[in-house]
This record gives sequence, C-alpha cells and structure tokens, in this order.
Amino acid sequence: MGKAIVITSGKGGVGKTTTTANLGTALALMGKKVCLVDLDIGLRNLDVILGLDNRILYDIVDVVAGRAQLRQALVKDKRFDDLLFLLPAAQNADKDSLNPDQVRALVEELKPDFDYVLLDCPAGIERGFMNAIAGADAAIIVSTPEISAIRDADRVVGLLEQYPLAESPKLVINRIRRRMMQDGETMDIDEITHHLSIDLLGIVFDDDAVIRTSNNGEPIVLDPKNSASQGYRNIARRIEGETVPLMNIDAPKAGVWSRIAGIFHRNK
Amino acid sequence: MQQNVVLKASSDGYELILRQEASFDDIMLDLKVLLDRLQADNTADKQIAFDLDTASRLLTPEQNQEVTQLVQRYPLFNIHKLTADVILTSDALAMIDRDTVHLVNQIIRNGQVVEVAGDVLFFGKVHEGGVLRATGSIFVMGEINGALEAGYPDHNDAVIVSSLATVPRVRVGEMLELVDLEKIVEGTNVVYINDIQTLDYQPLNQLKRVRPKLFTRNGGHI
Repeated sequence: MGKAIVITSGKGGVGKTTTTANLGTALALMGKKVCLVDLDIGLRNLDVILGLDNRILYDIVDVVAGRAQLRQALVKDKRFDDLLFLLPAAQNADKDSLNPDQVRALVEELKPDFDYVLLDCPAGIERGFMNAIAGADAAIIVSTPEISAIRDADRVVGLLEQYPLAESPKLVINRIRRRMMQDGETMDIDEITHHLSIDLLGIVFDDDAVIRTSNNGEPIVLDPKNSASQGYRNIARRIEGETVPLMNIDAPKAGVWSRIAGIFHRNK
Repeated sequence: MQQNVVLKASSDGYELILRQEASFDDIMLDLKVLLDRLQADNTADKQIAFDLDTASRLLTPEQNQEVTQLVQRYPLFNIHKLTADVILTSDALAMIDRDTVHLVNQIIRNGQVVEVAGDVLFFGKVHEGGVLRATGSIFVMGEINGALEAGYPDHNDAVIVSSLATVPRVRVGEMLELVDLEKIVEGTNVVYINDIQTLDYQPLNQLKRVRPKLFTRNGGHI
C-alpha cells in the first residue's frame, strides 16, 4: 500500500507544482513507483513541467464522471520504466467538478498500485485545497523565505490541524537565495522553521536552471550536478526514511553541496 | 401527616420551605392552604415578603410561574427571592470554567481564533493573524504577534496583562483598538477599561490598584 502525500502552500507561485514534479521524478529515479495527481483543475501545469502535455487523452474529471477508466487517464512518463505516471487535471472544468469524497476514493484506488501518490494542490484554501487534502496521508508544505508565503503557510498548517492527516505536516523551504539569506534580508532557515513550528523536510536553492528545464519539460532533478536538483533528491531520500544532512547555505560554489553543514546540520 | 410547605420565621423575614420529597401538586395545595390561613391571621395589613426555598429541587420555569402567580393572588404577599440547595450541572460547569484560570499552551496560527471561557494564562504563541479570545482576563507569558481579546464580548472589568511591543490589536470588553506604541509602557502592560470608558495602559505594578478584585479570590492574598 502506497502513501499519499499532498504538496500544498496556500500561496501561489511558491513552487508547489515544480516540487511535485521533481519529488516525483526523484522518487522514480530511486526506483519507486509514483503517481502524480494534478488537482489544479482549470489551470493544469504539472503535465507541462513534466513534458507530458501532448500525451493527455483523458483527465481526472473524465475519470470521476465515468467517461474514462482510471488506467486510461494515467499518462506514463516513458523516461522511466513504468515508474512515473501522471493523472492530469481537467482544463475546461472548475474546482467544483470534484468533491473531497471523489478525490479520496480515487486516491484509495491508486494507492495499492503505487509506492507514492503525490497530490499537487492548487493555491488557495477553498474547495481545491479541501479536495487535495481529502485523500492524503501526509502533507508537504512549500514556502519561500518571503513573509507573505510564510504567513500563508502558517494558515495552511492551522487548517491541517483542524483537518488532521495521519502524519504531521513537513516543511520545504523553496527558492532560497543564499546571498539574501546570508545578508539577513530574508528570514533564515532556523527562523522560518521555528516560527512555523513544524519539522523541516528540506531546502531548495533558487536556480535559473529550474525555470529553464521546466520550460523544456524536463524536471531539474534529472541533472545530478545542479544544486536545486540536489535539494529535491535529498528531500526524496528523507521521504524514503534516509538520514541526509541539510545542504550548506554558506557554500561558496556548486559542487560541494553534499558537505555537511555545521550550524544547519540536522538528522532528518 | 407531614406538611409539604413549612413556614419559618427568621431575623431576615419569612421563609417558605417546599419539602423536596413532596410532589409539586401537593405542594401547591398545601401552599394555598397555608397562605389562606396566613391571610386570615394577618390582621395588621402588613406587607409580607417570603423567601422561597425549594431545597434539593429545581423548579421549572413553568412551576416557578405557577408559584409566583399563586402568591400574587394575595395582595399582601409577595416572593422576595427563590433559593435552592442545588444548581444545574451545566451551570456548575460553566461556573467552574468561569472561575478557573485556564492554562493554554498552543500555537494560534494565522486565521485561527481560540476562544476560552474564563481567565487564561497563556504560554503558547499567537502568530500574525491569530486571535486569543477569552471571556475573562488574559495573562501572557508567551509570544504574541496576533490579537488579544479579553472580556469577550462585553465583560468590561477584564484585563490583559502582557508585553505589547509585538501585539498589533487589543480588545477588552467592548473596547477595541490598534496598539499605539506611544501609549504603552515598557515591559508588561495592564490593559483595562478606565473610569472614563476608554482603554488604558498601566505598568504591571498598578494591577492591584486597577483591579483589586483579582487579588481577593481564592488563593490570592489580600
């Protein structure tokens, strides 16, 4: 039986979809069988980032409405041998086309066939959010070091306390600009983690290559040398239960990320 | 036969005790007989007020009305007050709630409102956008970046005892305002409604002067 993890944030534009795509790809690279579910009905993106947008035949609303079988709608990523699948969102429907019970049933149907089901949550805390958390066993909250994103993450943690999942939510701090954080222009990792009072799952540095590769439909995580890729790979390993030290924010150049950072060392 | 209604005189006046084992109908009959006799005996045309004691019985509102109406038929009699040895469990629990200082140790996050009946001693954190609301007073030892609302909705004698440097908004009873950093004192503030019905800020050492009642409760020293 697999585990369903919702990737959420409250705020838009912090990298939920990018995180979903990259964690899914990283887990597939580790040999896990993964299904990514895009729940951003009406504004689907996950397919584009994975480069699967031209291969969509049916979508999640078709499945729920009974117009297609679940396995007909699943899009296989051919780069991985039967390990990575996408259940795309509908483009010409809205979030009311699904309800939490339907999503829960769908996820329950997927879980026996996969090691991980990653649910890409839409921005906001309305229907789409409720749909996304309905079927989840665990949650990853993505935030950037910006105050507005942290505020919204705080709100979402509060909502998850109200509708608790089997596991407590974990934090991913995304798009960290090392220079700004070192100079104290943004909150640092300890401050953010302490403020939100949830466990830190990992950090990802901001990198132009993330956007560049997304534009080409190739998740950054496929490039093993890139620092953002390293961040996602570390998170995937922690999801798998490995203990991986946190990346060093002070490292001067790429290439030495795996060095254990003194002050940010954590046993995750 | 045992009387179902007993009349007792004390230094405070007259007391009617309704026997708790008797049925209400029997009590009403006996009460009427008793009042008739008293009416006949009362030659002085003096107004008499009774304290009605229902012992270990609670009258329903209808029964209460019946008794009151019966007594009111006699122009010289009236009921001064109704007492019983018992109260409803729900009332008792509410009373305990109201008189207990609740220890709250949690994170109140953006968008969350935590409501407490009674006084609160708060050890947790209130994040930006969170609200800690109490019907009684709020005493803070934690970290507050959200709003504090004491005496909600209209208990104007409540107080907030807290450092206010990071608190954006306070409310006591019906008074609500944004914290003016010019008005607050350094360290722990006492926020209360003063004699001219505005929110006022005083240093902690003025708490006893501002709300002496806080110090006369059980456990406190006068």
